[in-house]
Amino acid sequence: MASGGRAVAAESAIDLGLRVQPAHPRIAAVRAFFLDPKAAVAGFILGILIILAVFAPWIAPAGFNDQDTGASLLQPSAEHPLGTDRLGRDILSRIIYGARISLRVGFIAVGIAGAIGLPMGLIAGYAGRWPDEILMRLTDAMIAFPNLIFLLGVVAVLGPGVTNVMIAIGISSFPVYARLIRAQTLSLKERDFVLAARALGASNRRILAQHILPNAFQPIIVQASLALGSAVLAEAALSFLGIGILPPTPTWGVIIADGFPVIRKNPWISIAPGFFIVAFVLSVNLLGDRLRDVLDPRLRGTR
Amino acid sequence: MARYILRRLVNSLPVFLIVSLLAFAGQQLVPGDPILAIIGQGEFAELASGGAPAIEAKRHELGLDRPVILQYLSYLERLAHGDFGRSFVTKEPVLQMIGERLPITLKLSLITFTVNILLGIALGVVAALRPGMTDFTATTWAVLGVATPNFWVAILLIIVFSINLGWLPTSGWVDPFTDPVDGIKHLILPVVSLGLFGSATIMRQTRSALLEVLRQDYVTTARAKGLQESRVVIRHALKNAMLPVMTIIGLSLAGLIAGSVLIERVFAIPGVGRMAIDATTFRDYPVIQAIVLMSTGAIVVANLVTDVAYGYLDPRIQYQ
Repeated sequence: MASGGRAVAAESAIDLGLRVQPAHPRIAAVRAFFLDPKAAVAGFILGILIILAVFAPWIAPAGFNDQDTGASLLQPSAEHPLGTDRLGRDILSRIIYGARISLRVGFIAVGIAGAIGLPMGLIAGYAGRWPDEILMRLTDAMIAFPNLIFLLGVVAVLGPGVTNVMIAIGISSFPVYARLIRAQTLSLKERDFVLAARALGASNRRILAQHILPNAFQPIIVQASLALGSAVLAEAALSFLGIGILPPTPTWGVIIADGFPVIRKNPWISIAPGFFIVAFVLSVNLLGDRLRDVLDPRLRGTR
Repeated sequence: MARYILRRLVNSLPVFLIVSLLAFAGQQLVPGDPILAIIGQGEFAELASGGAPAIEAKRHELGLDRPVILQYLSYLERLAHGDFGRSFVTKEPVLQMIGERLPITLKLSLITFTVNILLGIALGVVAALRPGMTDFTATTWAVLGVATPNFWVAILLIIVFSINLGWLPTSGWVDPFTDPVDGIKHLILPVVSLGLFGSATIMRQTRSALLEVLRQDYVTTARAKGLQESRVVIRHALKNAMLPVMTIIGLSLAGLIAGSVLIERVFAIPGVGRMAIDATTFRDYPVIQAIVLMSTGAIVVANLVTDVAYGYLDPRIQYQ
């Protein structure tokens, strides 16, 4: 019989009396995921942005800090599609490199948020009572005040810079994961397979890691993809204000800030990065929504 | 109702305490001697000339050698009296600095807030009553809005309306209550960029909530009784549709506070937001701390007001 995934090649498989095997389920799932036009476009855009980020040194026409004061504040041209800034640096190149940092900050910040929020939520949901009360109060306090103000506070204490920005954004976004996984844990911990594991003598840690966490993962993934967008927006805001990532590092927020004082000379410096930000956040949001829609019916029958 | 309010107040207390704890902890973490936060640079220099014993004496006098928990309690006491310390940079009392700038930020935020609510609800009602293209537009607008940095929108608006068309000023603040015409001209772009997408969310929520309510039996009954459509919608349907909209409105307040920091920067508006940015740049911790605490207070109060509004709109909630 043909190995899984390939229809038997012939004039017609039916002629040969052989069955046509369906495609491998994972591939079919991915294909179905992208059937939705919004998801397909979003995936395409995100793909391009990731390629830009990964291959920046090869794609960008110039370095991100190649200064040429003679070529300061040029209008868009064939040589510089988005013009140059005050120091003569090519804006398009800076934006392409910007993809690298902005995306990196986004991913790591979300990772940090998960690393904080998941254990919190797991413990709160599983242990109940005091730990739950304290951890959830902490989470509520975090939600209680405006994101940007908290970020300002953390940067005031830690100082600006890439690492600190990632930490700050990560800390400010943990509540959503804590709450999500707590809710999942609460509903899962009474399920039969958990009780069975406990009867077999599994330690709490083992139960949490091997039984509860894997089953609680789906909404977390959805949330994480949506959080990527907020993280990039937060970094852009901080960098624009001059208290996030500092020049000459070319994050999209920094470039918008660079262009602001010279907005009458070359408005594209401030205009262009914004489109990239919107493209990234929009595509990540659309993909996250699609992920949620696709996973939702299956959530009801959690394995 | 009064008991309900009291209960909600008591519930908000732990949140405020935790934030004050974090702010206090932050103070200990900031590089530099904590003594600076209280007495300011000038006095510290004077003391330093007296050598280590003088500094120690002052430290003892200020209670900085006591156990941390006692320090925290007296910190809370100072907060209760409105003593937020002095700015590291300008040496002025922080409370005074905030007092000078807060009215401006409040005016900007509240005007935007009001415009958002009125516009959002009005458009939402219209969209609910006339289905079709409006839904698609509203959804697209909201989806885009969530993905767009508001400071960038502000810059785009400046480029189009101030620089290219010359209709509106690029920056600055004129109090609309003292000089309405000029004030409004300076307000239009900031309010639009601050509130553009917040109002979209309110509109969507109003629309969907109203549609949901209009399907209910009691609405059909009201119509069957021969009531005018407008009365049905406004008197009966809208009030019940407002509940989920209140949540959205409450949530938008946090977004407004954060947003005003960015918008004040773009339009050079001398409000609290500008002060916050400068304070962060110069590590002026007492100012930051005060702003953090006040923002938390504002949010807590806003949530309280939202909860009370819930209780008013749906009396069943009070008894839960």
